[in-house]
Amino acid sequence: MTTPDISSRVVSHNEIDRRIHEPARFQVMALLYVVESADFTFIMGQLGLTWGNLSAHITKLEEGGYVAIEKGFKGKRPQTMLSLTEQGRQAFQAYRQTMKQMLDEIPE
Amino acid sequence: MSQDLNLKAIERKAFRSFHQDGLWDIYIGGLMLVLSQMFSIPENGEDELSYIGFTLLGVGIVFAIFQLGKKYITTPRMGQVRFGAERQKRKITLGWIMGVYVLVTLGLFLFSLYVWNVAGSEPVTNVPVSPSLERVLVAALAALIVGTSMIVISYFREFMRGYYIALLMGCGFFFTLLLDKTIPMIIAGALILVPGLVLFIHFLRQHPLPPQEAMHDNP
Repeated sequence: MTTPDISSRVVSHNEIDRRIHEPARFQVMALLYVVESADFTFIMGQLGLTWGNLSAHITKLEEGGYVAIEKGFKGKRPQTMLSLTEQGRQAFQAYRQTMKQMLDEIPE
Repeated sequence: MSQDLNLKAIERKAFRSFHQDGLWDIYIGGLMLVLSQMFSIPENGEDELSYIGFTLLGVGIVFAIFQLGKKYITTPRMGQVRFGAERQKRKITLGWIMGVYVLVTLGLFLFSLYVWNVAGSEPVTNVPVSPSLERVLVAALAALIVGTSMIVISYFREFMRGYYIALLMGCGFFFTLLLDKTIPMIIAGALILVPGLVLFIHFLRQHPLPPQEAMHDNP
């Protein structure tokens, strides 16, 4: 019995991680994937999201265990830094792989 | 997919966004204007200490404007970010290279002191150097040190305007030393400072202070 070739099998739409698939959350994940951590203000500025919008998306990602929130102080000011968890990092890599495979399957 | 998701481009955009406030331009332009005062010391050395004192004070003020601007104006508007290990490595490398630059510059400065004060009018080499050629060499060397150090900073900090600034700095130093006039340095400083001020105003318009909850009360 041979091992099935994963790369050649058809990817089902059910395999797409919907927590990441939403455009704004995808952008947040991509940004946090390339930096070590960032605060709300930085992410809002980079992605052009409002505080309310970003807050809702972060809550979803946090619920999924993809984003870690680290609260602290910088001097006297409160500072909340966001970063991807290991689970979030792996989920993002898997999402990229799945999407790439799915798009590659579309005939020219 | 690779066209839609260029992770390197996302990281680069995030990193370069820190130069959009124009504060670096204001800082360097301001330094050029302040340092130009050093070249207006009268030949007889009159009030030399006052010139040096004012220059040092000016350097301190320009540095304070840069630091306070970053801390109280830029950061609250742009937010905080920590970049990855690769950026940290580049920062350390830049630190080492700039350290070497400082040592080389210090070495050249001490050598100049030796030539002017210890050796006196005696030539230190057998190669005949005319005063005008000597002036050109000194001006070129200063421009080279200043210009290339800014190019190195621009490369490591991915500060694209830095290459233009490096050119202006090099020209400013070169012509000021060559002509023994402060005006080239003032022009170069102004050509760096003014775009920086324009960028800074643009930055303030584009980046209003975020809502308090974004800064203090995240979920």
